Amino acid sequence: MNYTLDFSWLQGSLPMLWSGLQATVFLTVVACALGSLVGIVGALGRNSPWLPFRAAATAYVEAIRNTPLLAQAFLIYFGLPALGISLTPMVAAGLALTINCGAYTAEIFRAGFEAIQKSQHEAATALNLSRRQTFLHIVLPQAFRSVYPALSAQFVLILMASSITSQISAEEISAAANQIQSTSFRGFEVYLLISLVYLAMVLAMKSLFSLIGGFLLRNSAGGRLVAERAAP
Amino acid sequence: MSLIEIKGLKKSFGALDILRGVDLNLDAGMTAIIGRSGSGKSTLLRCLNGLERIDAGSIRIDRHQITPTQSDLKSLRADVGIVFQGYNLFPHMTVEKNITLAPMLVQGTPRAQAQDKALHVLSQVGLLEKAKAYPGQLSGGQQQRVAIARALALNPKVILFDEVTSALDPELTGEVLKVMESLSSEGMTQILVTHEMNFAKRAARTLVFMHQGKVWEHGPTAELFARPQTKELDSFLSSIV
Amino acid sequence: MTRSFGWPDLLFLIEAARWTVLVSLVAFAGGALGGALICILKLSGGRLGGAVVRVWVQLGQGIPVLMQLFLFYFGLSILGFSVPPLLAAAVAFGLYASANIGVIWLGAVDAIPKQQWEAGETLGLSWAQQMRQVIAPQALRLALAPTVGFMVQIVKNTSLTSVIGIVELARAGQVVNNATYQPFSVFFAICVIYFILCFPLSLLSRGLERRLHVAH
Repeated sequence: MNYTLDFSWLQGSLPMLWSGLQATVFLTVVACALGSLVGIVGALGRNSPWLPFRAAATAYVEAIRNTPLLAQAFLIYFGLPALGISLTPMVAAGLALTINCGAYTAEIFRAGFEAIQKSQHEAATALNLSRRQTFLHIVLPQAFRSVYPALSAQFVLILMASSITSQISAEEISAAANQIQSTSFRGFEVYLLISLVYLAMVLAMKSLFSLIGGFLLRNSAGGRLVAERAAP
Repeated sequence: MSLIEIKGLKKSFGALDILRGVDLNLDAGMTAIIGRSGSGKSTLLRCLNGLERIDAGSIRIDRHQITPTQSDLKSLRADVGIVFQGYNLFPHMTVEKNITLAPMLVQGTPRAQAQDKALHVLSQVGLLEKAKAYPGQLSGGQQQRVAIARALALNPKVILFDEVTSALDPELTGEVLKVMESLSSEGMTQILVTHEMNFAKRAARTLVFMHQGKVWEHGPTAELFARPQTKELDSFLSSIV
Repeated sequence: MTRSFGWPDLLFLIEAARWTVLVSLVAFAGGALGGALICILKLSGGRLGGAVVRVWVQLGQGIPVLMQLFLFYFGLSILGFSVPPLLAAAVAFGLYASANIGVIWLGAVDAIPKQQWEAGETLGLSWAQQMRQVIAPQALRLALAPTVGFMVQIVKNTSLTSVIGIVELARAGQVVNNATYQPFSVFFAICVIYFILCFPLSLLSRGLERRLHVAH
């Protein structure tokens, strides 16, 4: 094997890599935040007594979870313009990731809501709390604490999934890597570096979630245990 | 006129008839409901604040009416509080927040007033120093007393107790029963489903013995304990001695 | 010259879907082998084995699949291998699939109560016998549902092998789109076909979970 590793391209590519990194972080944060909100609504829909809402939520979750993100991204980026909706690559990427995240967090929150024991609902009913008050003050805070590990794991998955949006020209870090690779012809080194960057981001994210978890959950039973599990 | 009037109350769970026609009048003061498992005591209690819907008959508590088709549960529950066997405190809130939540959200009580009330009821149950603690940091007996305080904070006319000491270690039941006795001496009407016969004998003015979904015997506690009129009550009392 | 999206295109897509299935099976096979290796390394208890597994899993789960595919693609060509695309895909998926399957299977073994091991031990069984007679059969039942569930992930991730030249379903979609310029219909059809491939697996996984009482 006559191959020597060559990282001479690195210096000149730093600006592109940096802006790609920022775009990746931005996409991930937006998709996770908005996706969580979508997920809460979706979880409520899955258990709703109102059939149209329940059917729509179920269809949404099953459709997204049983199709690849790449196909969803293609449909949004290439397909929507045919219907008159034209999106920039970054907006399409954000939309695809948000919709994707929403379906998975819907299942996570659904499990969380269902795990709240009937006795908590009874206590709230006996105190005359309305359904909305019970949901906001009793169900949601407790569900959030119990699903925290699963939720943070899902967010890490979204970070990794963001790499797929490079295929619809979103200018995040994988796309930057593709760009650099095509001009430097040093594919292996480029992707090696980017992989290390992703590893670092994943580790940073897990540590952050572990810290936040330890703080947020400090007063729950087993709060520390939950925080530990947030960084598996 | 009695505080509570129950007429022809029936309740079934699927094919199982739990309450088969309950007629009962209760006055203020402490009433203990006793009976074997399956006699319908907990179900009867839970009908009194609408946690179980009734299938037939009627219930009047003070000026509230419960019928199979129509009841204003919200105003009923403002006057009828309940304490559960499993305490059911909200684990993610401090003791104080557990108590102030409903008054603030449901009755619109201003925060300062709700907090004053919380501290007042906490001292009634002897747990003033635990206001900022979380339920997970308290013993079972302490949690149950907080649950009583939470019910008291809504100024009910009646408090229901559903086997509130059954889940507690024996040495912890005393502190809960003591609170109930002191509430009684302050004039609170309490209806309890219980297995604590010594406590019922000592503290309850009225005794209700349930058997097979009906009120089998009903009257002053001392009377029923000393002179059971039916063989079912007689054998029940001797089996638990 | 553009033509309308019609039956011949749909058939082309379905034919490409066969590649999706094939790559999935090969990836799963590789993943299962690697996963078994991970289990053996970890369960044999050595410190080196444990460290290797930890690094293996971190890499397989911490690097996006797309990056892993590129790495292996370029890596293999550097090493001078001229590999048929199918094999390249299998190797490329190997790290990802084995890491995840390994975690699932180790989790299943972990879920078996200590008392089962103790029972076998006090009856005089060797470690290997305990594994074979007592633990593995029970672990298999527990691992079945999540493994089938992961199969769905594999099928979906085969869409990424388009970047290393395999004309599977997603790539075929791009080809058809370039010929017909009806992206909405084409990519919607792609999604439907993926759904048909994945949904039964998802249902199977959930059914197995219910029947074998696995807490997810």
